[in-house]
Amino acid sequence: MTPEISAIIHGFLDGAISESDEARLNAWIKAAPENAMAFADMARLYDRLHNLVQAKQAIKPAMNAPTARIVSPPSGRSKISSRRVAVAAGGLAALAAIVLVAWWGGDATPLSAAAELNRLIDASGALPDRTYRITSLGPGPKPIEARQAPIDRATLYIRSPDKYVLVRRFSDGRVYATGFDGQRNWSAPPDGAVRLSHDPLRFRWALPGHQHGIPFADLRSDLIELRDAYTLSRIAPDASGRHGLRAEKKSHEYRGPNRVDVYFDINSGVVHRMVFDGLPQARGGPKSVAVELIEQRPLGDDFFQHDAHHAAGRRVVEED
Amino acid sequence: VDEATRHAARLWTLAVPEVSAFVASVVRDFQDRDDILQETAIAVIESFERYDPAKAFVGWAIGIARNQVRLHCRRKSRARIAFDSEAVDALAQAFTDDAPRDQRLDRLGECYEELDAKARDLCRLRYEVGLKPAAIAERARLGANAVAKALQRIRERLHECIERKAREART
Repeated sequence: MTPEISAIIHGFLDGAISESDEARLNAWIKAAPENAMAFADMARLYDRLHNLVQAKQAIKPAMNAPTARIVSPPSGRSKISSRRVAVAAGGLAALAAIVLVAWWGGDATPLSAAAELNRLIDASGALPDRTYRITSLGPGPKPIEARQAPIDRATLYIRSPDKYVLVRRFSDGRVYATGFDGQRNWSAPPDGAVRLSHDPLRFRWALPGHQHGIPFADLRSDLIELRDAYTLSRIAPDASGRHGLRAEKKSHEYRGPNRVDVYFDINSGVVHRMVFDGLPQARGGPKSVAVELIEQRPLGDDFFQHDAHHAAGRRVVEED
Repeated sequence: VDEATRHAARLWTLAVPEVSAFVASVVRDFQDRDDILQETAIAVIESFERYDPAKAFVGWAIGIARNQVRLHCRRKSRARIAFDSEAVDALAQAFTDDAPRDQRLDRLGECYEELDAKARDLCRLRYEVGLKPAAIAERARLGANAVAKALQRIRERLHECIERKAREART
């Protein structure tokens, strides 16, 4: 392929070539099957790159407003396009999910899984404080390092939109707490210094799914990721009649767990149980965990501050 | 839902990336692409009984997508196919024959992360916001040609990266 043809192909994909160059490209594609394949090769990249960038923006927590405005399709779009509004900027992954749900739904009406997830997303910003119990499902590898506290039977306290405290306990009763107070992440191990960081990812690796992008503590962002990067389907209600959704990862491009089941109260939007399956185990965690609601009560103004979770007088290191 | 419909849905899911790329390559506009894909999905399910399992599903689905592109362009006067039917035939064949190579693109995410911030910002403006090079140039206070060249270089760099990673994976 000559540099000139290459430039024409890229110009075509960006909608920035003249009609005469379009005619040249048309003739070149027809001239040989290898030409058509070379063009197809770049068109695949162009298409997938679009999907990738769209998905990356869509899963960012609390999408920044200017971007959201620009992405929103103009009003007056067709009925089909309004469905796309419902899946926001999720691109192809969401589209395929919606299409599948529409025909796989069984007794569920088309789009119901996506619509229910959208309701959950809307409700997730205004939920009361919640306390969850984390349970490992099935045998999992033991923590690689002795200083790693087990996630099994840990307690997770959450305040919308993204504050959390995760309390893990060693077998000898010592407590390892980590959290986010809305400004800083913090880590309070049973001994040594308490550490604070503005790095949004610092100390979060222990949260179920965090290593692969579903950090649970930020429910809204998790649900948006499920909507955009996973195939959704309804599953049977749990024993209490709560609605169930199953999200199955569509592509290895997305880093989340392979499968997530969500059971929730359809009226309040409160998630009562999430099961993460196919979690990474590189750091010794379990393959599957369940996160189950045990309580909803106000946790107090200072509960998410680090000093509420360790003895006074501990050395505190601010990392940044 | 009967088993045939489930089977159709499974095959469609696997074929979507290739069909999507084919549609995007002839209409370029992603809103049009998404509309056409939805109509294609419906047509695939509705006419699945006519699919011959001895042939490649991707090719069959691309054939349906091709019809949907034509219908879409007829309905919407602003949508236009740049290629004549002979060229579209050649492209449909290329996407069908070369579909297995699409797995290389599974590494696109890793390669994208290797781009510098400026390149990712350009990608965001082009693919998330949907601006063409001239509009990006206005925002970035650059020449339109410079932006077009930069986008070309980014895609070429990503292309080289996924090829390299595919080679490394093989060895």
